[in-house]
Amino acid sequence: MDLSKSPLLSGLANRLQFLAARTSVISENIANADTPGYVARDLGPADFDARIAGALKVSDPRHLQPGGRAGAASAPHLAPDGEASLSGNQVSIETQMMKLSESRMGYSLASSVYRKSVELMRMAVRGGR
Amino acid sequence: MDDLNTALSISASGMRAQSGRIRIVAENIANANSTPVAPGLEPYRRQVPVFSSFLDKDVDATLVRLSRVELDPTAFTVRHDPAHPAADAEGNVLVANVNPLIEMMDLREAQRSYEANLGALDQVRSMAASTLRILE
Repeated sequence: MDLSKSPLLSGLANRLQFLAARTSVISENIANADTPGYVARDLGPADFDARIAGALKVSDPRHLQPGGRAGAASAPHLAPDGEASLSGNQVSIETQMMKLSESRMGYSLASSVYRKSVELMRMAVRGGR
Repeated sequence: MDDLNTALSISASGMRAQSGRIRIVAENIANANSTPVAPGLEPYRRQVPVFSSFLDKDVDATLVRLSRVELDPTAFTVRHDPAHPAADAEGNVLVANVNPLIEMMDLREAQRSYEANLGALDQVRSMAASTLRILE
């Protein structure tokens, strides 16, 4: 039995992967909160238009298709927090901390759901006991 | 888990840079009243930490470091104190160009950034813990 074939589990695993990648981007922003000229970055879910454009570009069957993973991590994009300091730094620690707790909550939700579904499977294996 | 480990080293680099900054601010505050030992010499010159971000190829992330420490070019404070061994012919002594109020503000800002990094580290740790709980 391949657990990664289950759409629920692989979806959750992708979600966890995306949130972990986003957390590392947010940590970069917080670490660079006082670096002159640094602009905050963020990781958004792969946007639909970009994916369509990528899919349409395939002119040869041997071209690799962009993976159809749910919430696959795209490259980080610039997301200035609106306030720029005199040094040209555009990171607001408050906003970053908010984003960080947002992704932590999402992460613990996804990991609990993962755990519960594994538990369900385990229950089925044990015959309902 | 790889991204989480990366996040841990990023936060650690932020904390390291901020503690370096706190060290320099402490040096400035300690030397706020430093005077030269003899007339014609310069007193302590205020130091300014400069941060820069760099791509660490090992962890594949933009870390931060205290790239260099520059000297503040502003003029020294002049104090009239004819009894001082470093006083010039007019009885003036040069004192370090450190303003303790500015240093305290800088210290507070460094502390705030350090705490933000610590908070990020804590959150990443709890995320890693929730991943490990899947195994239970």
